[in-house]
Amino acid sequence: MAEYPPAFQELIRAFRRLPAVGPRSAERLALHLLSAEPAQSQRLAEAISRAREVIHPCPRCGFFAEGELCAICADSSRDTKVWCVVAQSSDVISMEKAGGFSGLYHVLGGRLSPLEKIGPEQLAIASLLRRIEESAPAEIILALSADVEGETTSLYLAPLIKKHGVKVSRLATGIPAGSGLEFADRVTLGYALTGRREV
Amino acid sequence: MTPALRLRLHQFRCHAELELHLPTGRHFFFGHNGNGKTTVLEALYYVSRLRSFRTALPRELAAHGSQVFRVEADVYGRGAAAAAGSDNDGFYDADDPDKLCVTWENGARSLLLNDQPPRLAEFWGRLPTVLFEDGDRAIVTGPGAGRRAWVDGLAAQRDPSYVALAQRYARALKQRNAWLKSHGGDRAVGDVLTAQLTGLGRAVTERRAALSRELNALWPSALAKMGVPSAMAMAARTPGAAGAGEEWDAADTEFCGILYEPSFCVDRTAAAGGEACFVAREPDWNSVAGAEHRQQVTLLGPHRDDWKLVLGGKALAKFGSEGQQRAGALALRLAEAELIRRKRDTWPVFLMDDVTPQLDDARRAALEAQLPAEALILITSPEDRGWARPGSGDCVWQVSPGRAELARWN
Ligand SMILES: [Zn+2]
Repeated sequence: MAEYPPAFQELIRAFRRLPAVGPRSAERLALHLLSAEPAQSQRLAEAISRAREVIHPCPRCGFFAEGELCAICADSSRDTKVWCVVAQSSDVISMEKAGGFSGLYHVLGGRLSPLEKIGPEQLAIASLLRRIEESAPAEIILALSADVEGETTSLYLAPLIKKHGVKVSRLATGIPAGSGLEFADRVTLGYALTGRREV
Repeated sequence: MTPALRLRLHQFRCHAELELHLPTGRHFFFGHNGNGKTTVLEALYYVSRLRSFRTALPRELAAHGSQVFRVEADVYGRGAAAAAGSDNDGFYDADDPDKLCVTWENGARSLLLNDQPPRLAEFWGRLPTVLFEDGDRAIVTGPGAGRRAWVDGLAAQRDPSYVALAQRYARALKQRNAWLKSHGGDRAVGDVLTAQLTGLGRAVTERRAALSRELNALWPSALAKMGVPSAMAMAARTPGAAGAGEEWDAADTEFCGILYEPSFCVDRTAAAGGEACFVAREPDWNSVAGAEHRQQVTLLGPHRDDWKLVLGGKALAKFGSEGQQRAGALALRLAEAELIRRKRDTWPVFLMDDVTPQLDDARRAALEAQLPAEALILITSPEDRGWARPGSGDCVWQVSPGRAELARWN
């Protein structure tokens, strides 16, 4: 039985490692790229390597940055007194899309989960506390999901932040448990933000 | 009105395609194993509770060589829509079925409720079911895990919000156990997990306590009706009284009831209106800290709850005869069905898998007398021993792989 050549199979395997790509989609993607114009593959390959080259975590907040700081930290019109702590960079995008928040962010890079061996050291918590000491914000909003891991992270962070005399609030509930901010629609997120409560 | 069902199977075990229309009433599936009669019950149970009672591995439910299976149930009548009033989104038309569909493909399960992806809690138990099995005695004599799963299933079918609570508790428990295993893991993380587990565990405990009280009020009389003489005294003493036999005096040799033995202590207080209200106490985590550290598992919480079934002042599991234990298990299922009906205003679907061969004629007649006429009841049995009666409206099905024919309509 004839099989795809080794390089083709390697391409399928590479696609397979991507989230939400099953065996059939991987095969379809590989077939598409190899039968389409070479320029298309070229463009994809270049976009990937360029993104890897120029994009790095913002040294201040952890969000994707192309320059020295991310676009949000570099924006002087943002309110530097209110910060929003999120788990992932994609959560920053969700919050920005929802609108209504004009402060700064801090991206933890995950949530506390002993099951996945993620403890405080694996997250950008030390850098958050250092940043608080240096910049003394007035309020920090914990915008973590409402599931066990999000709750654990929020409950862990709140007293550490409060020790620095900073007001801590949490998004109003309404974000479905078990899902991150990415699944919350704009209305929900906007409501959650205005209805935030101090902890 | 109670549910009538249209059930469709696709690549489910031995049935490549199978469709059955099941009106309210009793449906008999006679014949030997391997022709797929229990599979019909299994499919209904699966669309109700998203797991099988025969295997823990969903892939075993796929037909041989298939990577896909699907179970669809169209529920007519108000049955499913009456689920937990608040979740009922709008006017329900009796001619318009509630459509449940579970598809399993390559290890992933997807749900559709009326063609829309639902939240798990909306789907789970939307079609309520009560399962009677031939190995049913295990719920009386077996380990506590079986009783916990059973009570949780009942609680969740009565109230969809229990599904989310129990899932959240299970997740917090997993995280806390992982933290205990990580030795010297961050102390503050452990404290936060303990606090969450305590809050969730207390909520589970209080829900279970309230449910146990209702169960306890029903079980002795169901058992008496199953022809167990030693339950009759108790049933007569407190006929249908809520909370019958909550206090068990060890000297009371007539006592019959279900005793909830929670891991967290529960206080019963009388709330306004005379309703009993249960408050679970904050557990003493310090008392188990050393043992938890050594064993690396969480030693307090509803995952360690159990129930003791007492008949004639003695533990049924230890001192009951096999016949009493069997009757005790059947009485639990009958009480379960009644508790679901009270809350949902519809009978659950009765799934009775090879229950009758283990019963003598008197007990079988007693069980039959307790089956509600207005419920949908599916019964499998190797042979017809006179259950399906002429003129009763009973349906007798002939099932073979991929085929289901109404052999007789009495
Ligand atoms: Zn930044």
